[in-house]
Amino acid sequence: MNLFRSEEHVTRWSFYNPDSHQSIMPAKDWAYALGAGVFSRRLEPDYLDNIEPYFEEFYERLAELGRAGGFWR
Amino acid sequence: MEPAVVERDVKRAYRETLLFLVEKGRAPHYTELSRILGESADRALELQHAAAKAGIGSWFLHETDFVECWAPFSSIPTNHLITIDGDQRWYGQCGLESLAVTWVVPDREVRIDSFCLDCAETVTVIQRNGEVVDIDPVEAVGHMNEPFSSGNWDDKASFL
Repeated sequence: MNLFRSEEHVTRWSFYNPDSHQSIMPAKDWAYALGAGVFSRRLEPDYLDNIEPYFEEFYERLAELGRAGGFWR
Repeated sequence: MEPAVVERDVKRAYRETLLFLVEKGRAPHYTELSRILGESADRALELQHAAAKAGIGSWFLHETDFVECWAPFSSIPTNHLITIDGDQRWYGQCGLESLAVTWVVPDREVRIDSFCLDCAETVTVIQRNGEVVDIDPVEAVGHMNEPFSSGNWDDKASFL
């Protein structure tokens, strides 16, 4: 899971897996997705109790960004 | 989705390991964690492993008890340099988890300098309280080379 200077840099990368193309998103969109509870609430004392519902927030945010389906879950 | 119930001491070990990383830029050895938790070294070892298993993106260096990654951080250098309020002391576990560092350091400026695997030039992202303040270059993207659904997050393949 990496940051690249542009989509072109991803697709010409030596190890690029073409099946992963749908995961290419602007860094700003990834930052929005990473605002889901599973990534943003780690310091809450009961975080480990809530990982699964917090993961749902991540999938919801990905869906908002047009990313759903078997690649994701 | 029903919440899980995780042992209180495991939750504390998870949180204290992360807080130590936030402060020091490296993970605590279990002997250090034992002093923080007020537990024996053996108990701290058990709790740190249980906490890594209960969390996501937390694991140990192969066949050791040394923490390698405790998301969103790496305890060993990576190509994702993290600077917080001007101090470059941290490393992101991966490019995407680097974008989550902002959430464990509220009200502080996080600068990510991540080296592009294609050209070795930097991608820089600046965040505060979860908001993206600046991105250079503006065309920068994130990418995961293996399906997220593989659940293979703790494997090197998911980082390539």
